Amino acid sequence: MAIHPETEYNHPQGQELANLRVVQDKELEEIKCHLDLVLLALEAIANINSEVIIQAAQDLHLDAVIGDRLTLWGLTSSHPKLKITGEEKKLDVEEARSLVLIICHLANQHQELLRRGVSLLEQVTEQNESPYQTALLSNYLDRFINSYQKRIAHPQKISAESLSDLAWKLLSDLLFYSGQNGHRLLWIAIFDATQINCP
Amino acid sequence: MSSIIHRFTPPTCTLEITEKKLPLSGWLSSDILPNCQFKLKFDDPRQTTFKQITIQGDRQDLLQLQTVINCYVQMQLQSSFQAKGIKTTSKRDGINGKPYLTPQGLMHHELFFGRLTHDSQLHSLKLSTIQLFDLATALAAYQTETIVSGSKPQALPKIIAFGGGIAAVTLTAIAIITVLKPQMQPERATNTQPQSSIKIPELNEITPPSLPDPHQKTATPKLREPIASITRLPPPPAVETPKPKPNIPDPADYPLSDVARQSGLDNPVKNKNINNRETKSASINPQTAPKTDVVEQIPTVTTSSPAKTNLVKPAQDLAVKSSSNQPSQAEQITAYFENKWQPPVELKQSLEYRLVLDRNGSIIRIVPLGKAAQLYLNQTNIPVNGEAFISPLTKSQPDIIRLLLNPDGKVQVFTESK
Repeated sequence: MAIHPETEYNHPQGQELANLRVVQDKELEEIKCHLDLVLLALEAIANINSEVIIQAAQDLHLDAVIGDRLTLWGLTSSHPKLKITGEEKKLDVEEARSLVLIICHLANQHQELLRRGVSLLEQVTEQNESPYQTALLSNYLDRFINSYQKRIAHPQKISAESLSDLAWKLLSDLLFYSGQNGHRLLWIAIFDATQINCP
Repeated sequence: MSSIIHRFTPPTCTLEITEKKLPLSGWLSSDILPNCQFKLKFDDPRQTTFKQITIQGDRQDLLQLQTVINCYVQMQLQSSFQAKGIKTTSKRDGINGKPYLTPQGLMHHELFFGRLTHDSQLHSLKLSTIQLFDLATALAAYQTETIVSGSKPQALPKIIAFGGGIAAVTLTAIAIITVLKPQMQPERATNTQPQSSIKIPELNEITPPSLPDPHQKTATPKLREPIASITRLPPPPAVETPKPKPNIPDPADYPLSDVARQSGLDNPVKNKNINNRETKSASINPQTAPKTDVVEQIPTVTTSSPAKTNLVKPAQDLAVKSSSNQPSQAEQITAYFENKWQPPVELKQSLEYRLVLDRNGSIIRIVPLGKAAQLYLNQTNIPVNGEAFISPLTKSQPDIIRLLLNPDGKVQVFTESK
């Protein structure tokens, strides 16, 4: 088990995450997948691209930590057919922390939108109506499914219905990540999930 | 004994925690916690009043609730990254009267009260994800505040209490002096994140109506009470004008709450009255004073009608101006909002606003009446940038109007006297 040296963070939230637990190497690959999903959902609901994410990294002064990976991300997003072969740099814990902060920062910025989306979803669910009736939810689902099929490497076999459910679930999750304690919630969630998945 | 009130008001619930500090608490060990009572009310304005449940309890109950909510939320978030079949509730839930949560479908959750004191007739409450988020936010805000206030440096050194003797008397005397000093932290409502804004300043921002009769009640719809319990409004204040014509209905027959809630319903009796008044008004010389009387004496009365054209006529009947072919102020406002008002899908209540108008026909102040009105203000298309949206006011036109935006798209306008 490698113990990663603690990076000095100007962010109190980042420092809080750094103190939470020690990361094991084998967990990082799964964590990357989890963060991919959340980021994908965020981009789909807020209709933002990789440039916005890179800008957020700069605003939070995290571009030094995560800049290269986000640039790579941006390339693959805008050129879906571009496959990065070879040894892709594995996600390290500092990058994981930075991504958590960036995701929660952007979610907070779009909190009203997330709130509206979740409220609409609650309403159509309760009334047994189709989410496609509302433009906001319809566009979100289309963008989510589109991006999932393009960007998720080695996607698990998942039915269309399950994929839709995942999209709605992540939309609700984003609302919680948009709160003041969102970074803590996301950090613990991505780690606790690996505890169960990794024997 | 001093007490501190922490109040957190996200849109769908209100959490109030009262801490009563013992006189010597500043001197005693920090292990001795102040007496604490909490009250949690689920007051989502989109729900009817009888569904607005209140839970209360002491510090232990609050900590238990906090733990339950935090654990449940964390497990829900984690489940997005896991294969299906992972249960989010354990067999230990509900044992020993502990509250617990279970998912209900994709977007709802059921909170079982356990031992918690509540005013519901059921033993559980269905929460939406929004409500769960607001509750978690309020609890987290209180937790943050507790940590922040607990980390402040102590003004006095910590002294373990001991009884008996001169030392105890001296301590008591000093404590009394300390208590009698102006409190550094009196009862306060605490501001938290933008999404859980404090309640008291919100109330302060609402300007009370400037009606001449000090005994007249504010005609604010009471969203939190059942219709049957709302008292009828008193008659409007008397003015120095002749009495209205007999065929004009008594305002006491049309309580504001009934009018607001029956928007869109077809009431043949009321329509008939409208038709009678319309006939009469057509034949009356527009210079006649009684028209002005009607404006001032029945400021909040109008009747609903299924056809949009009929909605305009009552306003005209009440507020028609003398010797002018120009549409009345109320007509103009009604017409403006009928084009602009697009009710949100999830809105189930009417939104009511008091608008204070400038002479040039622009809005200088908007007063949302009720929590729902505050929530949906930015979706109402009310011109908020001081632009003129109706023709300039004439001298005798009132400059305070009440705007009612109904969830079925209908718009109603009432004039209020100055």
